[in-house]
Amino acid sequence: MIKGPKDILILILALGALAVSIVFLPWSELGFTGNFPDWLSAVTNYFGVNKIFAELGTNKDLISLVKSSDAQHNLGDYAYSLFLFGVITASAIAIVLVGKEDNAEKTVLEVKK
Amino acid sequence: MAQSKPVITLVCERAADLNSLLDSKGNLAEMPDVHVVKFPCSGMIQPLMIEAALKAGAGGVIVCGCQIGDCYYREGNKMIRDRLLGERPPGLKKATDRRRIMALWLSRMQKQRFIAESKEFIYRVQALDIQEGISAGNKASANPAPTVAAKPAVTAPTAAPVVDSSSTSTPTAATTSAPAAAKPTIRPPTTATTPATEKSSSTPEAESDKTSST
Amino acid sequence: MTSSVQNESNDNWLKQGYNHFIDIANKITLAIEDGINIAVTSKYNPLYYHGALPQFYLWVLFLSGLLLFAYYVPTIDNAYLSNRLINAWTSVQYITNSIPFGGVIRGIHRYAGDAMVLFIFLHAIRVWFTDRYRQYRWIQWVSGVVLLLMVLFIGQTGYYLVWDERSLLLTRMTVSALEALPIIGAPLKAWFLNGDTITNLTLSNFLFIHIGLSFALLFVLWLHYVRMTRPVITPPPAVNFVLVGILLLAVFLVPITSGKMADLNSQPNTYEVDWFFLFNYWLMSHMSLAVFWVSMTAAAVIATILPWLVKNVSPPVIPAEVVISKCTGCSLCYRDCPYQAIEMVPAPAGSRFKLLATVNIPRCSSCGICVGACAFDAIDLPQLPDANVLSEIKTFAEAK
Repeated sequence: MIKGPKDILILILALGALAVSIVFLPWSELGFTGNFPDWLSAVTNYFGVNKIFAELGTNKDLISLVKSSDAQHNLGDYAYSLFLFGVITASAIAIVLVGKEDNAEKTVLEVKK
Repeated sequence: MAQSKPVITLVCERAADLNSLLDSKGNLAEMPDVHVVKFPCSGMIQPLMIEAALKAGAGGVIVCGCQIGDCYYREGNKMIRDRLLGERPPGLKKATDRRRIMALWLSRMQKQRFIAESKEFIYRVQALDIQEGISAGNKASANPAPTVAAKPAVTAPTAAPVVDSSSTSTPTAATTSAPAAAKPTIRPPTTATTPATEKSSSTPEAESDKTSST
Repeated sequence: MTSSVQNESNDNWLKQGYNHFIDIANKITLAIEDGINIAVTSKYNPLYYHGALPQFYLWVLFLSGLLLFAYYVPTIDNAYLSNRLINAWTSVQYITNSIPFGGVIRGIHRYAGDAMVLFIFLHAIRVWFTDRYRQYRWIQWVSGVVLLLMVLFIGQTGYYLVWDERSLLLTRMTVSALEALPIIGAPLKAWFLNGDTITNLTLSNFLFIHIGLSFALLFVLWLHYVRMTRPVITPPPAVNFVLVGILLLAVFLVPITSGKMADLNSQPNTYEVDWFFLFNYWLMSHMSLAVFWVSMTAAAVIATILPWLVKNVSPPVIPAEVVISKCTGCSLCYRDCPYQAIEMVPAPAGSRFKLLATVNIPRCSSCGICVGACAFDAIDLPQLPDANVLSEIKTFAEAK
């Protein structure tokens, strides 16, 4: 399945998108503070991503951004949809950059042996 | 080279708009060696037409359709592209010199791109002609027997414009001469190449039978 | 005599104006497409998948609608069943505020509907400007107009289902508009309300219309696709991602909320207009009902018959012809024809072959793709026989 550097790049980008979308879920659902229940802190510690949440929990610009939605309830859901928007748009751009063919307007035939 | 071989352009009339570039005979005013044949859709172009052009002595063939994804008739340009690439029947015959074929997928406004690409293509084809003129000479002297039997025209290697039927033989000539000197002595006697040259001189029905089966 | 001459000159003036307009519109469309091609290449140009864009949103709507349907309660009140009021409005509130991601799903459902209408218009405008809707394509155009009207109506019923004050007002406006129709007005009103007045049954009828018509869309879509070989109904993943991203951003920026719960005793008279679905209610409140119905009907009729109104602009299609003596029945042209205009029929008795290609004339676009598919010179365009092409090629190639 993996044939060249392009495929490896695709795999890295896909895993990155997946990681970002999973990481932001607890953060947005639990009120953007990074204060997690013990089990989740243990998990984030285990993966070494707890620092990200600590940083996110104190970043005022980011918090004011995700709170700028007019939603009355479940603000975390809406904040998470904003992050998914970011991830999915970045993925789309990545796919286009990886997949676009520079010679889409020209076909030169390969010489057959 | 004083006189270059003609180049045939098979173009979809909805693709790059060449009307303003043509003279009264349907040749490009800027490059009178390029003749333009218009089709309602690039999907109408038969691989047979390309082969016929090369066989009749054209130096190269340019196929021009609309941008891939934007065919007025939905999928004509994809069809001819896949046919050229051998992914959809009927395809080109094996013996066809694929270096002399170029396909462009240009929208109506991209005539400048067309001119630029076709100029480059003509240079490429002319380089091929020169290379083949030399290699045909080498070949004729190195191993004259099989080639002479198949095509008498090759015996006059210096007169480049005369080589009429040699365009069908070019793949063998080119691939054999340049990279490996050992190959020419091995290839011509094998049965793989000789039927192809026989086929090209037989009836069109037999040719098409062959193309559809491959 | 004089009147016919006058007609003709009128016709010419109109025709010229129309052609001029389409010419400019076509050039602008091409320029936009060229710009997008430079940025993302033709492979990811969304305008080359313009028909697949609303189709993608339809799947999004089906999926998000299914999730909403799981919790929706189509009643006005069920006071007899429960002490707490549970009705359409409260169930929508429950979905929006209590279910995890319920509000986001609701927002996606709403904005996917808006986006679908937007992209249907984009699709229609592109096929109009690039002249890809007439002649052998009339069935796609007419079914497309029907699909658009259905989508608009389905979207409106979606606005009734929320059952806030706007829903009540829209329902009442619809009833008064239907009542204004002669003869069919009264039965239509009874059908719409599922009775004479707004009751619990009314909302279950709205829900039925909303979901039932949505599935009926699939049938009309079949008509929309039936004459096209290999219809392009799926955009590439990158485009899909962007389409979903647009929805998610809209959900975040403008979360969907309901107004106050509808009260049958109140008389709400102002509401927020959703320009994608509710523009006709805006029109309705700015003109008399008679004018409204006449103009809406006229617009629908003109949209439907547009392919025939501009009939004279381009030359007629001259269908391809099969050379029976050469056809081997190999089916290549049948497989490649983009409009399913070629049918393989049993070959006449005495033939060496089993099948014979025939051209279904009304479907033929005269594109010549079948000529390109034929390795036996067995199919030809009468206006451009491939023998002529070959001789033109040979003449030029040998002249040098």
